[in-house]
Amino acid sequence: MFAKLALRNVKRQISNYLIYFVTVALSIALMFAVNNLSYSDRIRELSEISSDMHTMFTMVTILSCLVTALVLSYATGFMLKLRKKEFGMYLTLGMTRRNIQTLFACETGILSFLAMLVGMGAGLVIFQLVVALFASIMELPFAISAYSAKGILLTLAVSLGMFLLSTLVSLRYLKKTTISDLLKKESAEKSEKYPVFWCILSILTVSGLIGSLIVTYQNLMAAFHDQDGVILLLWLLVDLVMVFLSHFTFSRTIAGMLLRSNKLKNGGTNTVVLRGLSGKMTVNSLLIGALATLLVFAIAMSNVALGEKIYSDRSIAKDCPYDVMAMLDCSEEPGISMEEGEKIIEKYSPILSRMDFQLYSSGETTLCSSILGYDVMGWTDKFMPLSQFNALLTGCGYDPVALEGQYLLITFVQGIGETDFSNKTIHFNGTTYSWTGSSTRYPEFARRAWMYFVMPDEAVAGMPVSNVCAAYTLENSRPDAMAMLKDLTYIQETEDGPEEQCDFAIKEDYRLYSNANAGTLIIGTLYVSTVFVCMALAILSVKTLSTLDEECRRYAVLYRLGADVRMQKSALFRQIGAFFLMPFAFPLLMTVPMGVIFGKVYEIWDFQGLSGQKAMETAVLISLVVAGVYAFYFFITYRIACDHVICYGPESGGKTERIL
Amino acid sequence: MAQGEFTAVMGASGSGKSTLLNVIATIDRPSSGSILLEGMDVAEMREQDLAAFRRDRLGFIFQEYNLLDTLTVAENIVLPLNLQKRPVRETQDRLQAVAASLEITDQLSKFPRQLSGGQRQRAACARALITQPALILADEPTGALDSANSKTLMQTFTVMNQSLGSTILMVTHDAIVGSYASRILFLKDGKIWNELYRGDRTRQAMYHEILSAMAVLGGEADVR
Repeated sequence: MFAKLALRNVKRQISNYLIYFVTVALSIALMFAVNNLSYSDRIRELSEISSDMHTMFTMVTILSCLVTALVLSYATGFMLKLRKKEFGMYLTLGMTRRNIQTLFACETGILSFLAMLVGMGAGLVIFQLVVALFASIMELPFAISAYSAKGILLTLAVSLGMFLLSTLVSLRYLKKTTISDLLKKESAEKSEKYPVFWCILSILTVSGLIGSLIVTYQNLMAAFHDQDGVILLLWLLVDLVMVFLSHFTFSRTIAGMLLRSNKLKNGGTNTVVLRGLSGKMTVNSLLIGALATLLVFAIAMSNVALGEKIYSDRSIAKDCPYDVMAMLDCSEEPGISMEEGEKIIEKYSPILSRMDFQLYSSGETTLCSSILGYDVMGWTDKFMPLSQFNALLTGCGYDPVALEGQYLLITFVQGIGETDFSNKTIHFNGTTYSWTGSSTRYPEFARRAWMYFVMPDEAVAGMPVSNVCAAYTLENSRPDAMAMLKDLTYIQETEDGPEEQCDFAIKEDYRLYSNANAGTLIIGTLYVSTVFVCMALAILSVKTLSTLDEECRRYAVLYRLGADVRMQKSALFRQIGAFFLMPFAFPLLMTVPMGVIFGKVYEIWDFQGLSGQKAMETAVLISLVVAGVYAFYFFITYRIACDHVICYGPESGGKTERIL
Repeated sequence: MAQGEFTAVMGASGSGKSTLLNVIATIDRPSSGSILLEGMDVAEMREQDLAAFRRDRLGFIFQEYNLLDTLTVAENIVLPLNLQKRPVRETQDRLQAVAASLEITDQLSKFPRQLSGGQRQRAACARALITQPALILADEPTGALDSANSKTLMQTFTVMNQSLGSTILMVTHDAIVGSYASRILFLKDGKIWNELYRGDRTRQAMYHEILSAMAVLGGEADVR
């Protein structure tokens, strides 16, 4: 009997909760895809390159599950409260609490089972799409991947856990509540009690948010100059708290503030819209604050992930400009000599060209000792002849450098690059050389040196060689990097025991490592962001659709008073649109400063051809995608609301009669 | 109905009172015949004109008040003027005037839930009056009120009709409420079965006339 009644109730409710149902199914589908990716054998092979991959996927799955479980508990509780009068009626008619609990458990059980079924089904397809995306990021050919039993079981277990948790919360409520509480009508909306207080608080929190963003920006720029990153993290946390507080307070006051304008109120249905919003936003202010925080986090993470991909693509060419780069220390016996290394390289690909170069050192520390903030103990000044440096530069597409009796500092560390050497002159072979500047923009030719100085050739003549180096160009630019790296690695005894060492850098290995990290970050953040955005929109949708009965009555009155269809639709559009926009507007606007920040970062790191415009394009792309998802949910909700609420004319006259 | 007339429609359940009100209110279309208001056949109007017609020419008073609970009393009253997009100054002037005539000036900043049933219905009357409509339609306006508040409301209707010159068409089951009208139409099976004019009769005499008519009609008039 209960199963039949539950099935009938589910059918009756499904139209109102369709969006919620679809969203839960989608989050299960995404979870299924990520869990399968995490346990896929093929991906496990790649995990050898990036050991963080599995950990990252596990972390995002846990985070998404927590959010989904919270949303699920909230939505189930919300559905229960919507129907509490019905359950109160069942109790007065003689059903026991256990009967009601069984009925509710059956209903949520059916919904959960359907959501899991649909979610897992969609997950089968989404997994292959995610694999295709991952392969594309890794620049590997796509192949259909096998599903992992572990991934499927984990998804099943986590989904069941989430559903059970949310159902148990509701069942506990049904056990504790009284019949009169169930039958009592709950006021869905309330007006703001202390408008002046909330208005002041709103101004304070919005100002606080702007202030914290400015300080964060300053700290971010400082962090790129190697200052303390902990302070930056703290400010990022403050930003998130301020996003929450400003949305919490602003949503309570904005409609009220607008209602103070008689001119605004006088126009058509504005009063109805603003009053409706005022009540709804006051009741949901905590929710709006929480959603805005989640969305800012999701959009920021998406920007970081895509920025990381752009950065890593560019940084490969900078970190390892030639197919293989070797750098051997002359002060010790090499584990693998240059000749042995070359033979190993030739096993994987014929060598097209080899460019030899050296670093020289007199053993002095005149220049090194000027660097502050770094442990320079054991460092000596190292020099590269200008002709070799220019040969390396032109070999990878850079313009050659000209030095007139000067020296140039080359480093990849921003802080070192900012050291002032203007009062440091050096004397070699009877000539004095002054500092012409420092640069972090050139590729890392001497990969183990934190810094070196480029000098005119005659300056280093006769100076002892400290490192012999070579840059190789291979016929096959994409050799089996993992195997080659293994062959070029040797064990060296150190103070801490035996350690793996390799004096060769392989561009393909950099690319694989970088792509694996970027792929993991992109898929992980896209997964979390999609779940956050869809969950946020689903909640807004459920909240909107749950008040349709009340809206029906209001719009029937408006119809009677002479509001035509266009007026009613416009009012409904503005009402739902503003409610949806409240937690979304700021996160979407945040993409502009994010684009500026990324542009600044690229500028600081001095990537050739990578301008702030590229960063802004990425930020705008993310905004457009989020806005697209937003528009999709909004228009579906608006359409359903229109069908329920709008009074179309005499033909629907019976409708207003029934309502009023 | 003549301009300035206060007419009540009475009859048994199913006699067609609400249908008559709905077709006059243009929220339902008549299956045949025509409805003429100020010389215009509203049954022939297009949908977009009907909304403007309701907005500009009709006022409504419902049994359940149908004030919007999220709006203050003042906002509820001026809503029809807002829909007409009247200037702020005119809206405020009319609000003060109608609130003063119905003695609800003190209640304007309150929300409907803070008012008694009688006060709510007076606010609903003010909303119906504020556009100075050609016709006010009242559907069982005392249906949700006790006898004291019903009496006060009907006195308000009398003020609206006699002092403010409003034309009122009211549907009611209640003979006492009907006795305030200057003309009574009795419906039976969708047709006018009888009508009474008050003329010089007192309200008490009118009340007895109505009861007699209802007895003959075999209807279900409520007698309080």
